[in-house]
Amino acid sequence: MEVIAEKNWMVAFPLKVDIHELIVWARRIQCGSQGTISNSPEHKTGLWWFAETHPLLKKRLEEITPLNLEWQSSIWEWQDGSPLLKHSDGLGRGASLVAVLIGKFEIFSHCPETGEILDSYVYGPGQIVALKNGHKKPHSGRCLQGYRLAVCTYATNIDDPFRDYGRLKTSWADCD
Amino acid sequence: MQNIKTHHWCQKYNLDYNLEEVIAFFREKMELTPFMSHKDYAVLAKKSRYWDWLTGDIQNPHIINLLNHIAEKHHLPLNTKNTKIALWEYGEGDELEPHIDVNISLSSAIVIALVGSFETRLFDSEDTSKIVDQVIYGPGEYIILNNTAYYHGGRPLDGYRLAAVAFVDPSFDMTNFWS
Repeated sequence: MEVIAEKNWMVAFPLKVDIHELIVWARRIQCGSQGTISNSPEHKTGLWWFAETHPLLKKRLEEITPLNLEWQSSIWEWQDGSPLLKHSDGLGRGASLVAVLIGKFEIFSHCPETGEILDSYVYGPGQIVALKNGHKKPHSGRCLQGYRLAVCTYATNIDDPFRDYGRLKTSWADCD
Repeated sequence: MQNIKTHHWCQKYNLDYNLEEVIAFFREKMELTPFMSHKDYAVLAKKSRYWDWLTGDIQNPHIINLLNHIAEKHHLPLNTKNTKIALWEYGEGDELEPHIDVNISLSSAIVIALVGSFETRLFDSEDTSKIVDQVIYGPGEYIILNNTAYYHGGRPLDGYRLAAVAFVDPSFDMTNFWS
């Protein structure tokens, strides 16, 4: 499978969808209703909107992995560019497939025992990023341009190919 | 009915410039700065929002480089102590009614598509219910608009649209440009 970058804790795929169409879609949804303020421990000031996954994005994501159809996409906006605090992902939804629409972002992988930053990856518009075993490996991040708009869609949590309780693919570059 | 050649009222160009940083900067700025709406400025449609700044107050190098890029290409003053730059956002169902921008600028405007496509229309000055010409453009393109001489308006084609508008220094004579 075509990947932009792959490490033992993350993989980045090319978006292969007209990003302008996705930005228009996201902004229409944002303008149509007020976002909900994030109440999660990993981010205090983000806004989010649930939305039916854009059909082109859904088609592209399904080329990578089956999706968790019980969950819609979340459009995430970090207007103040504040950081993503260190956390591990929950088990309920499957791995997060994050497509950045606006704003570059640096994600850090931390040592589960010491919290030390082990590695980082910078990505931006045009990439879909997923973490391998993000439920076990703490991660954090920071906005590099003071603002971020992203769409998060969830992989299946049955046989999740990004997690070791599923069917973890250790190398996406080497598989079809 | 007027017979006006497109290049006299609107010129469309490809923009050879990466807008990623520009869009990120402006989206942050939009959320941090007060905006004008229909109640402040009648030409704005119901869901539209408008921001403007003196160019000199925008310190972001990506914006300044973008302005310089276009300014050098067309030999137009877009970054002087008299110039302004604006952001214009259209929501679902918004349309821009026919008007002439005598109150905004005494010169011309460069409209840079950031998000969503737009149809800019030229209207007959004697009967503004008649569309005389139109130009469609979207991200990766910009227009130079003779906005102080011709009745123009338009509509977003995707239900949402964000554009940056750079105004030519009002003291600059655009006669040769539009001839």
